[in-house]
Amino acid sequence: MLIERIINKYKTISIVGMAKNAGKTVTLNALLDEAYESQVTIGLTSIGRDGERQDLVTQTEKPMIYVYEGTLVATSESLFQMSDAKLEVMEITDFHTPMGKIVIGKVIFPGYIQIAGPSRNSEIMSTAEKMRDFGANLVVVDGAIDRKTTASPSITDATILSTGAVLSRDMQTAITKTVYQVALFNLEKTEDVSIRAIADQAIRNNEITVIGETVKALDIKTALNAGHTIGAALKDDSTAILLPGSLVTKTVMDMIKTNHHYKHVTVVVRDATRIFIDYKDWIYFEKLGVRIKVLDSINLLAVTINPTAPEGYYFDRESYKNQLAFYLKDLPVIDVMS
Amino acid sequence: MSSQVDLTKVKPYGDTLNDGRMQFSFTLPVPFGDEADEAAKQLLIKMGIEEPSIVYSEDLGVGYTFFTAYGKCQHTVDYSSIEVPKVDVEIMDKYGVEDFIKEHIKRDVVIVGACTGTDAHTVGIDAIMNMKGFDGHYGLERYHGIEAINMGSQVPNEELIAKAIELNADAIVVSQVVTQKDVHILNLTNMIELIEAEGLRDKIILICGGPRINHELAKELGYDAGFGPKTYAEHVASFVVNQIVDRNMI
Repeated sequence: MLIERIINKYKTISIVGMAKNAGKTVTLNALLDEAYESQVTIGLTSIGRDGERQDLVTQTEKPMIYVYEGTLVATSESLFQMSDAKLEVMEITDFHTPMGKIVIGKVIFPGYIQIAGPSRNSEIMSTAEKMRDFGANLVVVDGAIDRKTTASPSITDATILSTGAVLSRDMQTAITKTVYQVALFNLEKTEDVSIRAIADQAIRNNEITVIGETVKALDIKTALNAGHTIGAALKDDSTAILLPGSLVTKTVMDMIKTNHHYKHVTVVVRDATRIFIDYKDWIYFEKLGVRIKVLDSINLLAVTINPTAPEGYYFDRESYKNQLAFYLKDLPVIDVMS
Repeated sequence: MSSQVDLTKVKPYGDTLNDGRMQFSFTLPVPFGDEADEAAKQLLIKMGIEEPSIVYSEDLGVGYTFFTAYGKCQHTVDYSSIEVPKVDVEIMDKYGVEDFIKEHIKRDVVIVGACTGTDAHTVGIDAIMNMKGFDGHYGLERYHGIEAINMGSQVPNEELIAKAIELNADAIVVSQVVTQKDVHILNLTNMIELIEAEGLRDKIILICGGPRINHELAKELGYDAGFGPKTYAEHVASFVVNQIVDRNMI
């Protein structure tokens, strides 16, 4: 059971998907059922929109969400009124979404519900805290489409990744994409104490910082479009570059084109949700000797799979699951659709 | 609206109320002829259309036929129960927005816009940003108190964000016209993810727009507002200036 890996270990977990229709909501429902059986009070919210019958983007049927008595939910005003479950209002927050203010409620009488919580990470964090104050043992943040930033350790303590046949008609391609995403989530953490100490300050001040014999903050506000500037700032004695924001392919590409110093420098980002490099570019950078590490790795609890795609094709259940499990080694792979 | 209309059971109107009359036009990949007309008719019956009649058909060549047809719809919708989330702000005209900025914000508002990703269609972003505007509605470039930067089309998300950071922009406006295979969705979520990664989400107002964008979808994607067809520069401007005040970004 999933819940056994979670209770008493984590306070807030996220469910993120590789794509739409990867099975996030089915995973969520399974978790809600398990939590109910284990008498764990859940606080539930979503950065996207969940529980509506028809998908807004693809117009396909979506699973509904059933909440039990005592569950806390954070959803938008308009959906709060439409819910089939009976809810007691605990707090009306100041968080605005295009669907109204976010309301936190407690389920008095079980039933179906639609969830559209805050869309911003900062608001997700404070909503999670509020729900814990109202008595939730575990807060679950459901994802939206292919958004993964809620998996950031600064937002949630642990993550479940949902993936499926929807990624590609070719099973090998679908597996490769998922294995790469898991590898990013498990990216090696820098253990260098001095780097970590400097990183704290760099993040607080939002400073791109080069570490060598001296520590130097660069005079740029973002690494986006600034790969050349970063490359030029690397010297013979440089050992690491700290990026408080994102790392995209172009930044790395421009950095390595500028000079050869990148070969003895570790690029340090906060966590894997800041990395926007696709698989092929990553392999290329690896071959050139680019080293990328994180300050915080993501606690990936499990990968859930949906072997059927909404386009109508499907993978062989067993071989899909077994192959993925083979590459992911110790990580549990759960077929939520069976 | 007519007083005789039962808004809980709305039906198409043709000649008289509730006659359910509808017009259809479509193409089938079959050769022109009586069999084609019959195929079109059967299709309409399967769609739940009563008394379908094919009033016009034309040979499109290469084995395709185009049809115009009429029929009666049997279904009704409950109009009274419909609720569509809309941008909940009072829309001011250009002069209203300019006065609002002068009175409440007291500095220039910076808005950066682009048509992003692989999309090369500037029609949407130009309608909102360009000085001449669209359909008699001036664009943001013409507004006093708004510094509007239109970066054009096929702009990578990262370049749009870099520009917004460079200019300390208050708002980013993203236009998406091409929606084949839902490419706009992934492009729009990538934008949000990058903004969160850069730690900018709380400091910037994010707006998306396009023919297949609406306010409800904007929520799912993580944007502050979504503008669909029939919205103009004043809609975007009214929303942005109100947000600046509401979110204390002055």
